[in-house]
Amino acid sequence: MVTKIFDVKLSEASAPQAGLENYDHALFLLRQDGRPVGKVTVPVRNGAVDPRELRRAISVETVVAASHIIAAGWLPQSPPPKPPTATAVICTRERPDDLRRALTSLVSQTPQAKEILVVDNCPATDATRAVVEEFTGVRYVCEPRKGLDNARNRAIAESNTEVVAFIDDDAVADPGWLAALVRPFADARVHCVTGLTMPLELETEAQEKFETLSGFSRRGFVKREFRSPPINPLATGNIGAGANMAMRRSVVDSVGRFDPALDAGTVTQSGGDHEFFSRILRAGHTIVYEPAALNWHRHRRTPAELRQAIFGYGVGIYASWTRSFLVERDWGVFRRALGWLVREQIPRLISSYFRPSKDWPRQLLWAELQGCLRGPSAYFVARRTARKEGHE
Amino acid sequence: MNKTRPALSVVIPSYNRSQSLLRTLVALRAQTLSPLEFEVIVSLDANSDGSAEAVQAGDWPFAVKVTAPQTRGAAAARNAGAAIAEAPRLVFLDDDIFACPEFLGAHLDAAEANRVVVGQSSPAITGKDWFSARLRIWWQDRFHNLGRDGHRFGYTDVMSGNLSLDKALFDRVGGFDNSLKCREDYELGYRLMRAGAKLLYAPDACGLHHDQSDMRRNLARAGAEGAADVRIARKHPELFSFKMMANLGAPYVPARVLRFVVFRAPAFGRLCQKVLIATIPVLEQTGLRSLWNKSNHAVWAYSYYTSAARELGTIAALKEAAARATTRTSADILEIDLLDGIDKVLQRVAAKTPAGSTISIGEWEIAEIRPQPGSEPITARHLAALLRERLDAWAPFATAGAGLPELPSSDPKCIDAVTREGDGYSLGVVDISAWELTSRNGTLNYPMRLLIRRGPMPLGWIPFNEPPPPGTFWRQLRRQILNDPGISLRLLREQMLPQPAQAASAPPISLIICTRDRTGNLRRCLEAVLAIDYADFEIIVVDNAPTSDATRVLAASLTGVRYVREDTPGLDWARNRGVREARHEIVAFTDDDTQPDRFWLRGIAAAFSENSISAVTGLDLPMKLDTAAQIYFEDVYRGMGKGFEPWSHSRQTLSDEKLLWASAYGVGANMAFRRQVFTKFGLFDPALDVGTASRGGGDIEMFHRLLSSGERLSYAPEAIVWHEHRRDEKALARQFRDNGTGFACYLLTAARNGTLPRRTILYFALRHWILGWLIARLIRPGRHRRSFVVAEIMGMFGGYRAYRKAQAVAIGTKPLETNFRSLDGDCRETD
Repeated sequence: MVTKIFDVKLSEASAPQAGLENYDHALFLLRQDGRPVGKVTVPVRNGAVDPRELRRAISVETVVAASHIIAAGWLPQSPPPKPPTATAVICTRERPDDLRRALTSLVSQTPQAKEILVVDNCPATDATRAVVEEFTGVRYVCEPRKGLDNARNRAIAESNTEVVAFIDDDAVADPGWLAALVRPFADARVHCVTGLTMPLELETEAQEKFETLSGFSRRGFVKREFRSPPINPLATGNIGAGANMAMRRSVVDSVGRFDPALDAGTVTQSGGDHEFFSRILRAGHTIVYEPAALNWHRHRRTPAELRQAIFGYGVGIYASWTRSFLVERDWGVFRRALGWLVREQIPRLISSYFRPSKDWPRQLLWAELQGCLRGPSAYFVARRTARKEGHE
Repeated sequence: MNKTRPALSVVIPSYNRSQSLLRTLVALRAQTLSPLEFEVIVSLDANSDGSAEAVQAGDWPFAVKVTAPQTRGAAAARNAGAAIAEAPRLVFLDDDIFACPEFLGAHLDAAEANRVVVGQSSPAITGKDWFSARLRIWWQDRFHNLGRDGHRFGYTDVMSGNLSLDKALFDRVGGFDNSLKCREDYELGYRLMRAGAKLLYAPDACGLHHDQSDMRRNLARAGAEGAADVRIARKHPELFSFKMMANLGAPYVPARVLRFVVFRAPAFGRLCQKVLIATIPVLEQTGLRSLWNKSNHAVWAYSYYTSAARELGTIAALKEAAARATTRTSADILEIDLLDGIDKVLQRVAAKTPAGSTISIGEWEIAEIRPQPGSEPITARHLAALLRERLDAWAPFATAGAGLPELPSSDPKCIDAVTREGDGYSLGVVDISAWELTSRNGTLNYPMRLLIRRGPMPLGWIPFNEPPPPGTFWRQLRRQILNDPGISLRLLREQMLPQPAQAASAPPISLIICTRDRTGNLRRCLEAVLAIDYADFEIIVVDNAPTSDATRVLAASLTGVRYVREDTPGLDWARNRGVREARHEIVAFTDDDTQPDRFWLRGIAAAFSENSISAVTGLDLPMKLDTAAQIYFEDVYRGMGKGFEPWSHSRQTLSDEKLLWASAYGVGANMAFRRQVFTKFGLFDPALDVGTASRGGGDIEMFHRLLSSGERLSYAPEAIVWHEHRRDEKALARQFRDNGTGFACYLLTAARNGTLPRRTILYFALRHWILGWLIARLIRPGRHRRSFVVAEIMGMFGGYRAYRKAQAVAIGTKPLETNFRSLDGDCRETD
């Protein structure tokens, strides 16, 4: 089960694609005037995608989204407001090859970022620094305290632009990524923007499963705004993810910094980005999901990594809820946790015994549930560690 | 101090807030504008805390005047300040707004005789509670909207906390209304707008508003606003309907109940409000956001209503005010049709600047800009902003419309002006890639239905019941096309996704027409077949157990038609015979009561260009809609067509239920197969279909057999066959009866062949077919006619006997078993 990924113009989607003997499916990202308007997955038959089958599979939503772009072009354009200055940040740890690919995509952004910053988180070797030195105009910063959120906080502290844009080291930015991610900040109410993350490759079954489960690209191709009310600040799952987000640097003044007890590198494993979104919402700021800000993420390749990631998500969600309860005194977390358990987790688990689903294998469901159980205590442990490190 | 006349007079009303007032004055010290250019007038509404003395004791770089008017209220204080202003332009600033250094400079830069400048004064709300968050959002939105490109200014945008205008203009409209305790700025704004003033939002003229509002203060303010709105409405009755009172209503309570409580039982209402106020913090604690929002709004609204009601006095007064407000004369409303082209529309709006506008695509209204008293007339900018926001409502349709060619200048010639007599519609086809109208049969007249197609691709039907005004036919048609979401979205899709380049070679096709003693029909069919636009195909007429020589004679008279005779009666026998006789790899079938479309075989061939497809069905459209029976069959029974959207199915995409509903996949009058499927999965079951006791089911049994064996079937709507439906109701009833029998026989055959477990088929037959389709329509017929449903049920009851009988005949005719597997070898011999 592997999927080949294509990036094509909508009007050229019916061109035949052949030579796909090693793939079962083909995933097409469809664009109109350079902006992503939809995606479609079609089976590969006899090593080729049939153009008619591809054409049939393209949804009417995609065509409608493309028509929006065409029709908007007919309207008189108001002069675009001057975009705020931006720093592009990669927080990384011991992934030199991925980092090189990510940096290559960052240095070729149009227009260029004012600064590109690599935060090396608690490095064990010199590899990251060596990669950064291959590029001109990229600044290297070392953050000795382990934890992705420490690195993010460091990046915000180090940057001196209005907006800080984050991309994962295992992701690749589309050439217009930064420009699209920064554009919504013209509205003063917007304090955070997230973008669309597509899979960079789906070469293993684990990657395909990760794509269906994490739903990175499930957030759609329509720009959306999130604000509380009406959005519940705890419902941050479909806003976006840390792999593709940007925030006003000043947001830390009103909502505080990333919680160093959360996310990768700590025992809580994830949740730092979503918890931060939830604080931004709670402060009454707007978060924009802008699908034109596109990047490509390389998902975990092996089943073991996949299981670990799903477990980590469970831990992260419950850990961030623990924080929301402890710090923000938000009692809503109990309702949310219960709702998730009763409405989704338990029914899925039960049905996985009677009608096993390909999307949600039983062991992954258990992994997630175990992660959830581990979440609160993990948060306490991580917080103690973070405090100890903070004092040092 | 200076002798020259200042450019600005800053009027600051103040009410016993000396600390705040002094800080406001201190902020004015740091202005980038020279202190010689402006004077400050402090107008004290009350002076019991020594504000006057504190101001006068200060050492200010600018001229400061202090005045203390007799009349109470902020409005009076501002008027009094304005009265002693020396500068030609007034700036009103509240005593709790601390100006940024560019504040006065920005106001002065924007100054123009007829222009009212509204500055930005976002409040500094720091609280983390939900109330503060909501208030912050409210203010943010307010100023964001003012600054939005294409914002339509209205009188409620005039906020006196941070405002500048010419003194002459201020005097001309008469200044603030002293009798108002609240919303005096809106009321002034209304008079300014009526006097033709232009509003401008200057975000650079910004001040920090230190308004520490909380819920209690907000409720008090809501009360003041309620009373003020009633007073304003007394003065300007037309404003009434735009206030909350007009659509009296709050969460939890219906408007009537609320009105009763507010006017008749205010004490009870107050009690309820108190209880609600007490619960609000609990809701916040427990994270119940939507309840909190509703309760908060309810509490607020109740305060507003009660004080408004107190001001009004009685329900009768309320009704009277509402009545006065609604008698407004309707102002000029411009009707805009986006089909005229965006540029033209924007030009028209720019030329007319109407008070209100309706925006539509054809007949379809997508938005409305209401004429609002005290608002700017609509300009092209406003419209463009609205259109940008509402892209979803018009973009797909306008894009589809933009891709259409220029309309012909004159009406089509082939329409007869005389209206049809009796039931029925005349049918026509419009190719919109050239706006070409052709009639299906003879002259076209009203009422008619037009099949819209773009090249070979059909998009849908457009009804035309009455003749449009002369000269507007094509415009009307385009309008209707774009007003039909189905057709316009399909059209959009056709335009955006070009057809894949077809394989250069059109594969040869064997076309098989099975007939029996219907020479008239067959002649019509063959004429259409001979007109088919396709490179390489053979025509095989299979004459099934004929009683006369007519068919053979007819076939012989036409060149390129092969005549074959099959003496065993039964459509499937004839089809199988056709398959054996066919020379080409693709075998297409139609009946003798049809007229294949010119592009039929192209559509079939295109569908087969997908290598994995082994069967194709196409769209069957009515040849005529002359009688009630034909219309019933087409409109109520949904005819034979399977829609205008292409699809493909295989076993993986189908549930057992869908797999058994094989009648949804096509009909025998328009189907095609790769010939190898007959070798692999057997021929048509000879015990089925017309001419045998089973009277049907041969085609759908084939679809079902292929799909359940894992083959892929696709539906190509561009492969069109026009089918003549039964003309009279008796024949139609017989057809429904045959359908019932045929479907039963098909299910029994499927059960025998074991394509699915028998209990699955039995469950399907009972639950979905008999109960969900037959009985359900008997109980709730809707537009279906019960007698037809009964006919189908009767057919169903006869199904088992018919099956047995047909089986016996089939076995008797052929010494071999009729099970399709045994036919395999038989077929291979002919290869």
